[in-house]
Amino acid sequence: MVNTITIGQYVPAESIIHELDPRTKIGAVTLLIVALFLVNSFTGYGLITGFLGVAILLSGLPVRFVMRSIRPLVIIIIFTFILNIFMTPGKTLLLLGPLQVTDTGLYRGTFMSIRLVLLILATSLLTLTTSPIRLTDGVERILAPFKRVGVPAHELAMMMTIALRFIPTLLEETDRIMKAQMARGADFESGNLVGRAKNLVPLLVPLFISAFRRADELATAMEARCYRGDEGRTKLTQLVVRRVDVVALLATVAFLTGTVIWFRV
Amino acid sequence: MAIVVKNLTYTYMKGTPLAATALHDVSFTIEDGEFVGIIGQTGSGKSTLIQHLNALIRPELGRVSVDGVDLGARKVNLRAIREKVGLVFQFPEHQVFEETVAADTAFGPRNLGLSDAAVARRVKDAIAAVGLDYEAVKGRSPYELSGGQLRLIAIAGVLAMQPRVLILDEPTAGLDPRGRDELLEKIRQMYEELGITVILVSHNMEEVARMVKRLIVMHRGRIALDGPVREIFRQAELLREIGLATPQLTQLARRLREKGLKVDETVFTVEEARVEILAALGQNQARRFGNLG
Ligand SMILES: Nc1ncnc2c1ncn2[C@@H]1O[C@H](COP(=O)(O)OP(=O)(O)OP(=O)(O)O)[C@@H](O)[C@H]1O
Ligand SMILES: [Mg+2]
Repeated sequence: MVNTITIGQYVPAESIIHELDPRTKIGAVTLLIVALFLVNSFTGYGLITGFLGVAILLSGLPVRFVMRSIRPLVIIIIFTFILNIFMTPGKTLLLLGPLQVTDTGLYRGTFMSIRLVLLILATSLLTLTTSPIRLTDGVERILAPFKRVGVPAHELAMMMTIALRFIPTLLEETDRIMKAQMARGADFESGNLVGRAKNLVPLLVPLFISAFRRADELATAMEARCYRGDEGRTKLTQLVVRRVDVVALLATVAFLTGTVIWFRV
Repeated sequence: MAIVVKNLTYTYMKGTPLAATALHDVSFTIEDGEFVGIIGQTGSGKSTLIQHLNALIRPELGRVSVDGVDLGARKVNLRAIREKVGLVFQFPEHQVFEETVAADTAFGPRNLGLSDAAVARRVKDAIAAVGLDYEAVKGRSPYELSGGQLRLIAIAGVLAMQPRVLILDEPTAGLDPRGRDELLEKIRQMYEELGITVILVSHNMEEVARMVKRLIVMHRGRIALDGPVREIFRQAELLREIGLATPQLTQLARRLREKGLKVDETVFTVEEARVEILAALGQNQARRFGNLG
């Protein structure tokens, strides 16, 4: 049940997208997100969808697998859709008791949902094709210039690495403790809201204890290996910007700027 | 006819690039009252297999039935199955969550909807069955106990459901040799006194050899060997190929045999080895080693 969640997961493979420098990918995704907020027409979103589709195809990952990353957020998407449909004033299309569906509501609801789906797909493609180490190396390098003004670039990147690293571990642990309690007759699936929340205690207590234990062990292990931040620290693999990176980034900038200028109403 | 597994195949993360088939066409039957060991290298599918036996994982391909109840059927009473088949996970102490030992042990029986008096009785019996002093530990916080004691409490938490089949996934992982021996001895006592079926999962040959009568050897999600312990130990080459060593005494007996001494190569306890070797050496020479006997 838990293992259908794929947030932050990396799928190793050989593809142009996998091999791009993480900074290129982070940059491109950031631009894409900005574009999603600036463009406000369906045609513009169509073009961006096409662009993202090409990137997904180039990554060599099965399209259906990439689409699965939407699953954990489906409820939020549906919620957004419904809220927008009912809460936007406009010409009434349909009356459902005290609620009214308006034309602008329908338009906004659909638009917001597509925006969310594209946001999720773009960021998922980033994590699916970039190993956590390269991802955080990228973040660290991007933040490096801001170190002078006191941004703890290395520490932020390290925290991100650790967080990403422990997502699957904690999910696995959740799955295991859940099963262990189910073996003792616990029921996590039925009951009303209050009952269900109460039933979570046997899961959450051991989970927190184990998370703290892991944190403690990790801190000790890092200290035992003389970790002291980024002072004098070098990297085993250096990030290098290659020609594909320049081309990919330029293409993204050109395409997205074009789309934004054209479809910004 | 207690547990029947037929052509069971299971794949994790099915339909994704990360799909991993953990079980391939596994079939076996475990009768009531058996003491079975499941052994295999890490990743061979042992944990996946046993989670099928109390319906924590539902069979996708193939069948699993317990006392004639098909665990793949849509409407199975899961609670009844889990009451019948108790599963102690690896590092079971990680599941302990209550403030006191007694309250934690009571979690299982309480989920079965028993009366307070019945729950209290079961808690007492279960803690006694794992060999701890009920009066001394009942009010203590689980986290004040030693690692070994805490594990016993976790096992008691499953025993308190009074299962007819007890499955233990690597119960001795992370214990020191003495704690390990004590725990194994307690598991043997439970088997003998409670008259239950016990399935012991391990990757340590020495450990299971002394305990069980029948051994199921897993290798890469398949059953490589299944039979009486002695029969299994005759297949030393095959075992070595799949990364499992026969017990040291079995290896010794084999070496002696290669050198021409007629000893049975399937011995695995010191006592058996002594008898075999003395018999093979003959009485005359045996006298020279008299101080051994
Ligand atoms: N939750 C999971 N998600 C994906 N793959 C899994 C999961 N659990 C186990 N596997 C994979 O299934 C295979 C069998 O795992 P399993 O835990 O059953 O082995 P095991 O014999 O119990 O090993 P160990 O001795 O290490 O406990 C392994 O290859 C493992 O990587
Ligand atoms: Mg296991």
